[in-house]
Amino acid sequence: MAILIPAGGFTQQLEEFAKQLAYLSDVVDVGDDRGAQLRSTSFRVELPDSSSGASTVFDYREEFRRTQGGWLRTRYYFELRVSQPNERDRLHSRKAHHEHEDRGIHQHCEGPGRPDAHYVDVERLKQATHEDFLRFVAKGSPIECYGLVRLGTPRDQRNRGAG
Amino acid sequence: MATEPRGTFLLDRRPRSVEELGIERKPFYTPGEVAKILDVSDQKVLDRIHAPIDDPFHIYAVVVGPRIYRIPFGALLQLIGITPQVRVSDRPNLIADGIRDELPTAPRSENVRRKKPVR
Repeated sequence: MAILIPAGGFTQQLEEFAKQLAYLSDVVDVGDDRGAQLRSTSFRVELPDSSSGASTVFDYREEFRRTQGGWLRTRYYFELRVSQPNERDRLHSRKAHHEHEDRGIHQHCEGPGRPDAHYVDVERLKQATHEDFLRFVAKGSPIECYGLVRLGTPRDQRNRGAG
Repeated sequence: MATEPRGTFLLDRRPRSVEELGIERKPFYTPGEVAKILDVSDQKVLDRIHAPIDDPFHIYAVVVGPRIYRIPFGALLQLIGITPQVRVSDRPNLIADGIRDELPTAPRSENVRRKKPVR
């Protein structure tokens, strides 16, 4: 599935998403390098919790290539990270959806006693992923990694594709 | 029809910060907590949540279950008249920076499996 954003609506879409994130915290960081042929965008919002001392970060990054029809998404990096209580820089758990070279589309899930690994995933949209993450955090439930299928090494994947 | 802008309808004056209101900072608040902060009834908050999105009195909330809502911190701020800060930069966080640690390595279990047994 190719994600193509019409060139005329690109900035508006960024603004709309930033507006949504502004409902979450008092500070939202938006990045857009406005590249002519390749364009990178990012959104980051942090939700500190003064009672637990933990902090939740929503981190969305995308890269696009200019085509005749608009901006074609080439890579994405959507992450939800929860820090250890009172230690903002130490990770407690993480859920991530990525698409980038070498691995292609995959996801990560890590938590206490569960080290990071690459898992099989389907292609994700930023908006839908955000709604997913948001519902998850709002429920106050811990990140769960049940039912995920491990991804093989890049070589395994190539062999599978060839076979 | 009221013309008061969103965010100022429930409080008499705009606080400059959340600290000024003396509320605990957390990611989400229940409608009951928001009602208490704003000194209105729970029902009024729920009515505002159910109001159409283009209604100036609409309250943004996340639906977490059947008839269960959570109001995010930023939405509460907007409700009391504090505008969240959107910092726009031309230097986005790059994917390459995020995946730097994972790209060259295979999953841990695969690395372990590849090691030859020591004789």
